[in-house]
Amino acid sequence: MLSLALQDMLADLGCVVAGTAARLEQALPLACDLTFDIAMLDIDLGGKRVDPVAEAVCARSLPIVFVTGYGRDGAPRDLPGPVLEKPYEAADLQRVLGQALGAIR
Amino acid sequence: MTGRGVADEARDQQLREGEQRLWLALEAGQMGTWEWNVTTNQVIWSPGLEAIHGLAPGAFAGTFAEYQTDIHPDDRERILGAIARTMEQGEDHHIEYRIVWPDGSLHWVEGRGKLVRDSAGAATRMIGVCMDVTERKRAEERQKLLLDELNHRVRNMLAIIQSIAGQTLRETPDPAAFRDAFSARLAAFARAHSLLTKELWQGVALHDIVATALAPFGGDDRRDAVRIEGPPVVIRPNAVVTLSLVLHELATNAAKHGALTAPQGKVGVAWSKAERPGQPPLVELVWNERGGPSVQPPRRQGFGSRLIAASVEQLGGEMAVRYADGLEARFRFPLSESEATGRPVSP
Repeated sequence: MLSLALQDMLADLGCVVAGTAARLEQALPLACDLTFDIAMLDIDLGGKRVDPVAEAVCARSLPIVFVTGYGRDGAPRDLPGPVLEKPYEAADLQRVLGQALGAIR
Repeated sequence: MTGRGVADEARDQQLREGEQRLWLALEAGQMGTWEWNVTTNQVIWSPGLEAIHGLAPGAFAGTFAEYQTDIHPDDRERILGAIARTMEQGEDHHIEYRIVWPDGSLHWVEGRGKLVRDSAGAATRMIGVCMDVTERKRAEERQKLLLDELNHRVRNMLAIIQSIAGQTLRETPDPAAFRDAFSARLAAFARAHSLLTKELWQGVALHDIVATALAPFGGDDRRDAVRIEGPPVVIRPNAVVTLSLVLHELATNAAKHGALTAPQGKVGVAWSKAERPGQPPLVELVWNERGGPSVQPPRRQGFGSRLIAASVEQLGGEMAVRYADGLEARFRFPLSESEATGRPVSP
């Protein structure tokens, strides 16, 4: 449900969604093998924390944006990446994407 | 006996009674008392305070160093800092910190005290009370957890509503059509939420989810238009809203283009549960429309189709749709977390 709105917002910004996953076991292989420029990770994936996925993305030196309803404290502390707090607008999304991409380059 | 002796006796009696009252009050309040002689470094604890620290009466060695031994390591620096501030600035002493009992258990205590000065104004003693506040601290922690969780759920809910609004606007830019479609989706969302609240955010019976989602579509004149059947199945909380919205989309579609447009049209929702050795049970739910107009696959993917695909992904299940005499949608999903993938199956 939330992923649909995010996909639309990303499309409006001219991004191409390389892949989506709603569950940890679907997300892990994508984090390891999929070709992409940036990962948008909800902290909570069907009741499980997204940390292992974030670590896999981080290991490939690819940027991450964390999406959360828990506020800033919810994001993994030891992993880099701006936090997008729900609910958000397209402008918020654009800002954090810029931050995350700028930090890596 | 002189008159003065009688007066002394009466005053002593008053003092004893006053002290007894004080002790009873401290005991009733489960408080301990302490006194720290700054010059000699001697520390006196009442038996009640020893009990608060998990010690037998008389077990406290009575030094300032001994006082520090059971303070939780993470709190020690803060507590010593607060004591130093009271000593230097004379401000009243008020601290809350964790202690570790000899049996290893963790307790919260709250201490209050005052600095006592001699006639020359030099600090000689600190004196005060201390009590166990573990229960209150636990309640505070529980309340904070609840508030964090509430905040999370409210934010998620706002994000879902935002998403529904955005998706609906894409499909129905006309304001009147938008209002109707958006209101109907919001109402379906609210009904799903009521179900969750009624079950205290534990699982919800699949029958209740289906009946609730379809209730607005099988009014009094169409009571037999909707048929729901299946064994008892409980759906986990994080799938309840999605499943409810999916059923709402299918029912709306049936009422606009499918079986529910025809007087004799019928919608059947039936499910079965298959136990699998070593794996969570698999649920197969079939949405079946009969007696309505023949249907064609939609030309473009609308909100309904996208939502269904996304929810199947979320449930870790599979889906197959067939358009023939009427729409038939077949969902298969495991009941709890599993390694299932979102592959479509052939009908």
